[in-house]
Amino acid sequence: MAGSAPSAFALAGPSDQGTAPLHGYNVFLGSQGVTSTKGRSFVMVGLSQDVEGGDPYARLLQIARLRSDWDGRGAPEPSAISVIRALEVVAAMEDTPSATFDRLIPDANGGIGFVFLGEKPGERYASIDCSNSGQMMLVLVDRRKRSHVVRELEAERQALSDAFAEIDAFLET
Amino acid sequence: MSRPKDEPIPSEERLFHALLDSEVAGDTILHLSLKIGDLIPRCSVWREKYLKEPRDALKGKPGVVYSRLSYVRPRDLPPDEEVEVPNSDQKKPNVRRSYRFIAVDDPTPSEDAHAEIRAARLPDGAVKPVNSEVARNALRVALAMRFQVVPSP
Repeated sequence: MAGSAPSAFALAGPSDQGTAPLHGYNVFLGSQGVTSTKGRSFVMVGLSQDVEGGDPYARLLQIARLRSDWDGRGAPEPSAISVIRALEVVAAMEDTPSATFDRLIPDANGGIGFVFLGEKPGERYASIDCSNSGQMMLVLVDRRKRSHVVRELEAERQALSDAFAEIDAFLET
Repeated sequence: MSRPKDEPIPSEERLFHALLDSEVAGDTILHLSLKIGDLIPRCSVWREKYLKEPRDALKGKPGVVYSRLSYVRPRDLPPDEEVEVPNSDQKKPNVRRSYRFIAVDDPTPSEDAHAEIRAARLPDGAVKPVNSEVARNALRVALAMRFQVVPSP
């Protein structure tokens, strides 16, 4: 299911209407942002609220509704393909019960980021970045050692599952 | 009209970057908070010298609540960072290139304190597009690691 979604959006820009079935949601993308047809309503509650925990779909839909300059400093709005990539990450997580992110936030450079924090968040964290071009990247940061890894992730279930395991191992060591 | 450029920026001067709560983890900032542009890795910062007080760097768009401040000093910018970028000849393997972060005064008519941190390619120091999204993100992560979060009052 998730694998078919990106092609459904391939020709849909931010202002175009498009639909895609994904993980039980029928997702509409249009000028009013992303909404789902599960009878739920999503309201922007401010970027500084509800940053941890909660329903990832609801949070993702909040982020998807952001518009250009949402930070007042020229940040691009999340693209259609970045939203789809993020939905794929959420769907893959549901197949990997041990994989839980701590934050889901908009990327100031455009796109959406899943953030995983270690026991001492200031020392280590990891993220899966879904960029506005559709590229996915795994980021591992060890600030204490001043080292980091950034590499491309394939947008498919096995690669995501492997990435979750790598993040777990990184944050636990 | 912008004020005249004032360079070099002293190595001790603090260059501020405002953050949302969600962009801070412990005493570090998340790289996702840095906007570095589409091609040329560069990031806006606000010079301490031209702010009446550091909190002035928190000013943003109405409705956007910047609540945290971070800073980096030019002396604390990352050492030369090597990243892998695609070869211009796509049939050949990727190549490794080194970049150096530099602080550049960049006042605008509305923001005297505006400056930029740019990634300059070595050895010539040219500021050019980096044609790999992964490489640009790696440069962004390296830079983010050098910011210090100002403790909340």
